[in-house]
Amino acid sequence: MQHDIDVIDAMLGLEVAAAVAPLRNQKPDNATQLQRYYDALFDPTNASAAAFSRANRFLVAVRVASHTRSAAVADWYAGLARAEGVEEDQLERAANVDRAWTDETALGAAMRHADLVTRAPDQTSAGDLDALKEAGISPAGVLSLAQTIAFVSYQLRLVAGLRALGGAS
Amino acid sequence: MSSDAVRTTFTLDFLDWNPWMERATETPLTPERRETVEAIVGTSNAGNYINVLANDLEALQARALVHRHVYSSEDPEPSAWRELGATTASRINGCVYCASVHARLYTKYTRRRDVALRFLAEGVDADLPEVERAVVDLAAKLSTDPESLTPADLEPLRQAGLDEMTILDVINYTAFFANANRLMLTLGEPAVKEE
Repeated sequence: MQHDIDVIDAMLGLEVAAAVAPLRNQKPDNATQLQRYYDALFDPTNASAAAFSRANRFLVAVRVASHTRSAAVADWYAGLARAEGVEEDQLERAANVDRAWTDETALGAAMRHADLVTRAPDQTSAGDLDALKEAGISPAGVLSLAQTIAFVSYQLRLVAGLRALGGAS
Repeated sequence: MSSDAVRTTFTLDFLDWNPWMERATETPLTPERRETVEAIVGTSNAGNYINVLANDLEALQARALVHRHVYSSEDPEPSAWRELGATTASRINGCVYCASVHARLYTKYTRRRDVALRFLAEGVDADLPEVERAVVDLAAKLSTDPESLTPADLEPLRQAGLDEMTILDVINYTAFFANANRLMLTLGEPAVKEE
């Protein structure tokens, strides 16, 4: 699904989005390119979705945003996950970052990786990528996972910064 | 050429990067896909890194536009402050490679090599000039606890003379390095460059 609205604006809400629009509109390319990056990850090609599913991407995004208690960002991806048919108990687990995702599944391995990369990116090692492979995730899937974690890490900070610039806390 | 010596301390030196997984060109690809990947990897001066990122080609290509914009934007003028924001994020996240690149750029704009070296060595608690302090404090909060950010956190930058677009630039650039650091740190490792 291509979004008609700018996702950053949607996460900011109408009032803050309007307050920062005079600033954001000075760099319209930046907003369009960021949206395109978002679409590449969350509206992937069929081949890319086969390597790492949409539902898993949304759940990882919820997990990453929950680590920093970025409610607007986590809620956005939870909404997409629900539309994709993800069950509520899975969403609750994704939001509860105090509880490790211990399942021996591709999603479980992805979630443990998301926890590590979000909390302590400099503590990762080659063995962490091997664990993803052993869980059945292909190199393409590993990169879709890595990019999803990295994208949301960027997005939630841009949203927090724009909110402060727009006068909201 | 890169050596096998892993670089684990912060530096202003040029570094290489060694991957922990298959490069895209080492995986099965359709001839068409291979041609696209080789064209992208071939023109990059960060070959290994781009080749690993090419395992998700669509994300790499979309991200490259964001990356290029962040780097090459002339409005506002390339500023030392966004480079310091990037260096701060990289210093906190432990990305020795990114920190070396952006501390060099900060140094290029300010000529304050001593400040750059002190910041790399001591981190966010280092003794810094006023504007640097304001930028580092904002970038540190954005990196470690973004949701705690309030409008009051931007006041020191305004008082230091930064306009709203420059502050947005610092925020955007620092935020982007939450992304760049995590890709660089978790898909491979920096290495000492061989002369």
